[in-house]
Amino acid sequence: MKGNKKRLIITAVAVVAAFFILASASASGGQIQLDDRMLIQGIGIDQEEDGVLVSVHISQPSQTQPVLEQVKGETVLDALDKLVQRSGKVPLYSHNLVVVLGKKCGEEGLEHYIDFFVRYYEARPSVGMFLAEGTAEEIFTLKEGEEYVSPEEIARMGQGGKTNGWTVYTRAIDFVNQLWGEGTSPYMPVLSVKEGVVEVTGTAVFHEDQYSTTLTPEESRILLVITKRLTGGQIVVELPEAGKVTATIRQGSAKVSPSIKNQEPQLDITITCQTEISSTENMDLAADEALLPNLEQALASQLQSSAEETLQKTLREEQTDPFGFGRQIMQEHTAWWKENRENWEEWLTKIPVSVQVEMTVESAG
Amino acid sequence: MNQIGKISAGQLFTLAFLTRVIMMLTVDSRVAGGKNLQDLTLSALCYLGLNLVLILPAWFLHRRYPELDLLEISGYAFGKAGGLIALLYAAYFLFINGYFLSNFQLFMQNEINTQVPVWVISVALLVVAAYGAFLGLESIARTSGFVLILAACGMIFLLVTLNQELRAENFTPLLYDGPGQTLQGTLLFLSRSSFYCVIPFLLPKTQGALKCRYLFWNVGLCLFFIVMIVTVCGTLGPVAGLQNFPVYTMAALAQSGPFQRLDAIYTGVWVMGLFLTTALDLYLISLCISFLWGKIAGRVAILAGAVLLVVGCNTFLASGEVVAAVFGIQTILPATMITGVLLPIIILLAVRHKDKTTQKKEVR
Repeated sequence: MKGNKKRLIITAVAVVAAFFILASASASGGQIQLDDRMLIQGIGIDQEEDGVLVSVHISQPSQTQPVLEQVKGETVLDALDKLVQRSGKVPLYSHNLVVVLGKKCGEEGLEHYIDFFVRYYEARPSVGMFLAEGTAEEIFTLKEGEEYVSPEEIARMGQGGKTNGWTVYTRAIDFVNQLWGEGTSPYMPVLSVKEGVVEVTGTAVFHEDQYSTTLTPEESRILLVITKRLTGGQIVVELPEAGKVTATIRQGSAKVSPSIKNQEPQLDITITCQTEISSTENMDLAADEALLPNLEQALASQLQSSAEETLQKTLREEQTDPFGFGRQIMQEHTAWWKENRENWEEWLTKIPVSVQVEMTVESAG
Repeated sequence: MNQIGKISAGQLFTLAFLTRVIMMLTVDSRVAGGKNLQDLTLSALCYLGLNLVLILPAWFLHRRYPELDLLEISGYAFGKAGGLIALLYAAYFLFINGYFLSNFQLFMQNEINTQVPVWVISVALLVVAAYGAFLGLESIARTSGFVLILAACGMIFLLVTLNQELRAENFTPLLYDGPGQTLQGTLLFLSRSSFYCVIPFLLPKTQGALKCRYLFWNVGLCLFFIVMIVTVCGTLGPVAGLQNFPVYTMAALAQSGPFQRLDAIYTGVWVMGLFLTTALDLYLISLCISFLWGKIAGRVAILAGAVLLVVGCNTFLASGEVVAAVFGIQTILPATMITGVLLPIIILLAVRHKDKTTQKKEVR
């Protein structure tokens, strides 16, 4: 009986304490209402003479289209804080979908612009990153009809590589890993405005955090296949007997085998793709089977040529390594890498690279 | 069916596992001694081996006096001076919980930036932990069973969804910067192993196959650490070295269909582990104080301990710099090793000496 009474008292004290804590929690702060929040969905950053210009797309609960705000500041967060002065609302960065950086930011060096997206507690490292061909402001202020290009659309463009087979997808965490990790060069998709429409037009490759060059869609495909991220896309070849043939890539991959011989590295790359014929200029389906060997050879030849040009451009001319060859050497030949990592850019200009392409046309459509 | 006042070996090591989970959740490059967190997989293996050895003093004490806990044995060995040992252990439990709680508060302030004041969350946690301590060991052990299911489901869901985020290029070779980080990681795990201090109190209150369960727990803990570290490194890559709470950042990347940004699972598992650790340690503080001044003093000590923790963690331990200075590895490691390993050895030697002396007197 005494024990039950004691237990009852303890339970009552616990209930009162819980009530007190809940009341304190609500009174001391509690939840911020959605209307008091600024739901930031897209951030564009341009370098200005005395700081940065930040263009922001803000989602409003009562509207389907984002609202554009632009602010200047010394740094990205300094500029974003000024948004609060205008609206009194508390910014919410955790739903941000895209970050678009202006070309000038890329040319100056991206590290101090993107530090906020990695360090700030609310910023998500999975946000998509893009480099604007011109300015981020151009992308964010562009209206297609009456509406701005929404951040969701831009984010979807970034993931279009699954279908078109050449758009790369770079998150903030990927960019920082490529920047900070040894033996890699960062890259991200390029956004351009063409005839009043925003589209992804290539891949920007960086030398450390500074913009170096832009890869064309065909070169970007090579980047995707060598980094084992190619899952779609079309290749067009011309055969004398069939005219233009479009082959759809079902799966693409590459095996990169670095080796060290006489203290010198070399790379053997074998690219394999499974494709199928999607269209030809000749509708004679029975003839398609006879086409296959020639088609496979033509496709392999085209892809090989494209691979060699891309490697020449990135490794030799720009001394960048977006494929992560250096990282793979670091993982597989660590001792050699430790001795030679400081000179890796020099090695890129002379490392022997052999490329083999095996194309399989699995069906005639 | 367990005897009254006793828990099963399974419950003991479930409790041990859950209280160790927070060790893994709060690892970062600063405390781990470098940015190559992958080397902590080797630290986990070293920790597994050391766990099997460093527990031996407590095990030998238990084997010699299976029904007596550490305080009772030290009372027998040292007489009234055994009270000092009780005070030392009470102080250690308060100290280590101050470390865990202050770490949690720093996380809530810096990573969550909660609108609710952090002290309110601490008070809520400590009220529940104190209640658990009042109810006693059996209640805490039973709760650990439920918590294990929740925590396991959460962690498994997280790890499965993160499987698609693993990238081969994110891994660095083991021991890339030498063995220093492996050593530092091992010392870090050892320093946070407050269970060395808890075990001598709980073994007499446990029934069942202890050796088997202890081995199973150790291997399970080691595997858990390794899987977590590999997932963190494979998902985050070099970015893991830049994060204050890399496991939290990793959880923020997890997604499966409509479920995205599963960092709430991380916070939930941490809170559950922290609750069990705090409740158990407050209970043990009450045992230490009861040994000295009686049962009522022991009950009061639970409240006093909880208040001290809240006040301490929200005043002089509210700053990251102070936490790093007070709870650096140079402080925690000696505290844990002295209290968890050295003291049981001293007590064991003293008890053996006392037994020999007693036998000689009886022979005469």
